[in-house]
Amino acid sequence: MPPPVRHGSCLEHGEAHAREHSRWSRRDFLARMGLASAGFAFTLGGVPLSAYGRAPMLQQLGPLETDRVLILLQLRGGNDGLNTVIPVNNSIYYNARPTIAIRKQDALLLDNDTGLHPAMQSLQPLWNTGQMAVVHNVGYDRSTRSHFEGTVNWVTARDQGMAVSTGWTGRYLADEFLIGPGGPLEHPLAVRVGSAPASLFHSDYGNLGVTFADSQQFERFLSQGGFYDPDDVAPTVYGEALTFVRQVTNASFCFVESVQRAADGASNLSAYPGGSLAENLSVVARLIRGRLGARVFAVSEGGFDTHSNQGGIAGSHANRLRNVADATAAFLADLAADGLDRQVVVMTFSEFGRTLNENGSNGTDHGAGAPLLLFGPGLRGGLYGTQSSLQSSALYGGDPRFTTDYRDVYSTVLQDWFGLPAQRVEGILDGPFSNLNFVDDKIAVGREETPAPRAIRLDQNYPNPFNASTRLTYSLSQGGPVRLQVFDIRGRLVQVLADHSHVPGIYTLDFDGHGLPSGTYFYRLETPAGSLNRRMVLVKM
Amino acid sequence: MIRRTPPFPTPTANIPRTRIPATGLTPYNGPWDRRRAAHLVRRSSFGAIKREVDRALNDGSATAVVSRLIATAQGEPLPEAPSWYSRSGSTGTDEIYDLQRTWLEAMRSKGLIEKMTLFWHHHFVTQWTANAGKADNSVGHLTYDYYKLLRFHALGNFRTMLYNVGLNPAMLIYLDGFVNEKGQANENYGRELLELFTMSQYAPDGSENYTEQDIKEVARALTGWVVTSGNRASFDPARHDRGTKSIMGRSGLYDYDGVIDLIFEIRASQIAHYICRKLYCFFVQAMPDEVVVADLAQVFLAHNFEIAPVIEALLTSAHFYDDSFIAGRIKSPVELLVGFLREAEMTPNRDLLDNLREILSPTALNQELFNPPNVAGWPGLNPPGADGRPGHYAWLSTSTLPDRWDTLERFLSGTNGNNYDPFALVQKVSDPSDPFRLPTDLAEMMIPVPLNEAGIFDVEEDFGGDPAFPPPSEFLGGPKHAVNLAKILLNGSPHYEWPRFTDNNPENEEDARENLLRFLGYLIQLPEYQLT
Repeated sequence: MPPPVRHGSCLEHGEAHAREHSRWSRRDFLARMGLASAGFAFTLGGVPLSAYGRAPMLQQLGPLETDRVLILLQLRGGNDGLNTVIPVNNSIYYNARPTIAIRKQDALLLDNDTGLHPAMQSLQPLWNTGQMAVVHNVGYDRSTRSHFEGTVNWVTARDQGMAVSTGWTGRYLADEFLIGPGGPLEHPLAVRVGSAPASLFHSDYGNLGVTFADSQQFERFLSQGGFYDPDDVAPTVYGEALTFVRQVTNASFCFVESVQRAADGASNLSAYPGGSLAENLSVVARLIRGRLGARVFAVSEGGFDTHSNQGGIAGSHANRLRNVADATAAFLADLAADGLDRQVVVMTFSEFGRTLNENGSNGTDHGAGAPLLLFGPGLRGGLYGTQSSLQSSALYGGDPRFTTDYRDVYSTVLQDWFGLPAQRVEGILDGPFSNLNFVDDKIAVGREETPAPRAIRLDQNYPNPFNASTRLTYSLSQGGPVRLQVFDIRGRLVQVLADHSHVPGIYTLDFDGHGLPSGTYFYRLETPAGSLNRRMVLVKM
Repeated sequence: MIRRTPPFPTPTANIPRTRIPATGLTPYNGPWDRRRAAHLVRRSSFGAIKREVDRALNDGSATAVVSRLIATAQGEPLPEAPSWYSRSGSTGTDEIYDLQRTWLEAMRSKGLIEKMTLFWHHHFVTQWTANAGKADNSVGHLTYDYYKLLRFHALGNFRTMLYNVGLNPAMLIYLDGFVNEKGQANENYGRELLELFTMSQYAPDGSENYTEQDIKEVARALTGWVVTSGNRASFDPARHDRGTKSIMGRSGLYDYDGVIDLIFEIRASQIAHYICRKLYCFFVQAMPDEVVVADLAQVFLAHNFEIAPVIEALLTSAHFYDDSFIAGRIKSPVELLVGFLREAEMTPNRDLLDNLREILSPTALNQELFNPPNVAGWPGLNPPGADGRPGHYAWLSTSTLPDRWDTLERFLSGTNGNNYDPFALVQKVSDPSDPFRLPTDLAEMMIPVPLNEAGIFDVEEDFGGDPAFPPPSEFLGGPKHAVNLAKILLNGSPHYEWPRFTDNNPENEEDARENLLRFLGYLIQLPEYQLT
């Protein structure tokens, strides 16, 4: 027996699917997801928008302005920056690391003073063609050397100790795609493949990304369930909660389906090496080629917490670096086959660098500043920032004190790569930061999408809360039998306001609550095209 | 120098059982049926495990069950200290993870007392991530002492608990009480004492409960407490501001005790109302019914802030058992995961508990124990904020919902550090040999919404097998959802090939096992499963 299919779950079930999709105007999406901080009230539509805090901003939703993509590549564990980008003429470095230092003659020279770990050989063509930028010694103030706090810092881009629950990319995505003019949003704005931090995509509007653990798993979800009718619920408190859960369920499916469609619609055009990072990047390449529309992808490579036996030109650290280099080179080569690499910048980050001195077990412990690498033909390749002198005055607890604030890098990416005005970048990063000028190509591509109309609409009553009487408005794009009823909080029928055949149009009715106790009431519209519930509050003075 | 030792009194022995007559809290007098018994089990613990629902049903009335649950909860001995606790010295994440695992397991096995403790943790927040490294004290020891304190008072007296929480070393460090000294008052604890822990800024009638100046004066009164290297609170008179303070229109030489006495003297009804409103949202639904909350507050006041009478009045009220509220809350991640372990009859090993604790982290399902997002607790458990949005919506997003599915799927498939056999479950819940009754029995236990209203998909295909041997006609003529659930369980295989588990090594056992796992996977993915 084929997997059971619920009505409306898959593409071939055209009508129900179209009905579901027709609802996915961006504003609806926001509202339905409860993402709009304008709150639940806004989801009900129709009310004067100025009555709610952020709603006017949502009203100006408009088209996406860019096809550009940022790939965040986390090196989990705290990458040893000094053995990645090597100060090949610095005797302090060589004295501090008698067994693991990379000799100048072994390094791939980026300039006379700077070498790259030889395991990253596959990046040489990118460097030679100006597609690789290195920002020296990036970090943050008051590092506690904790993996947890390090990750939180990089992800939230806020000062140490400040409680921030949104990710910097989440804030960017919300700012660019949600608080601007816009059309339908039928795809995730961000995709996390593998185990990168999910909180990268947290915004005030909720999490804007989708976790994509295993495509098979989601195929099964689709075949078993699919879309649920969020409006076909009893007019009760549990019905209302169920509506919300079904909406989130549908949104999850919608997102997943868009990811699936993009992944199925494209293939990789060149070979990748083995390993999970390469595999994850090959998925990212397919999603970009399949025009998913996500702006940010996050992937990661683990194993950088090299407390012991990290090795020098060979060993565990070298192997990790090789994985990163080979996977990144293969990813860009794949995209270059049809010119998509021009839409992409890859950026590494890691919790912190490692100690200047090697420890007693031929490894290194948690340190501070470390270089950050960027890749892509849109960059102006080269070295940026300042390499640490490693003199004691340049150290933080014995390790390289950062010389470039990590938010300078974020600021440059947001401003020059995504084309965000400086003022908005300041809003996202909570302050002005320096531009490092490593982006060469500053052109953005526009595109338009239009929202689809809905078959039935039930507006929020006005006024609400109300004292004794209020006005209810609903509209129909098709005629037929229509019933409008009012229920109390316990789902008991209070009054039938309409129960007869309607022609298409907009209808307004007054509801009189005299004689009823104060409290919450539901009103429910039933039509052949579906049912809708709303909540209203009677407050007797 | 220790001048005073905070008292650690025993809970009041004789809790009055008389209820205050109150319109919003009319006792439930309707039929004591399975739906209501399951509702009580889900809300007072985690998940509707069958034997507990049966027992509740057997008790005969809501009053009988609630009395038993409260008596049992109050009689639970305090948890034993972890093995590392007797060692002094610094502790870190390993010890915190140990506490998290232990607490999750306690929630699974002990029910109400741990659910109350979770509520008070959400109310009196400390965050281990904030306390680690903030003082010289070991965060594992601090956190265990804090947990034990909440657990001890969870169904005791609120005023006594509040008094002790303010002098708890984890709290003294978390909200800077330990650096609050004469001439350099730190307002952090004073502010939260009023705003989040007792009364909030505004009273129910909209009047202001306190001013910014009151906070400053309260902070002065609270000066002098420090935390010793042995993780104990200690009063240092030299750091205490002995001057006159003016608080909420009164003046005096207030100290720590004086502040607690004062707020319970002049803001008792506001405190009772604020706490009851939070309890209401935790136990009933996200949008507070102000009439019921006001009545609960009366109960709280009449019993001098004893917690148990409030819980008892709420869980035995007609309001609590109203159809509208059953399944009306979105499960918190802890309710989802611990409830699932119980419903699925899964006894977790250490690996599985580690998986649980990890999936609760802020970057995944976001209800890490001992680490709420901030001092206000988890938004998903709070009454609605200024925007009026129901708090529990905060639990679900397109990121956390697939994570919830994924986690439960991994428990079922045994890839989460456990090895799961669904037969242990079905033998306790139903007749495992009956492929018609079994799926509905399982669904009725796990899905809180009436099954005829649940979005169970309509399987268009007919039953598999030889059409000459259809399922019993009385079954086919019964509820549609039962027919659909049986089709989903059988997944196309003929009903007459479903094994008889009374046989040894029945044929098709492996196929049936796989179908059972798939069926449970279907149930946990239904939107209705997210509700409680």
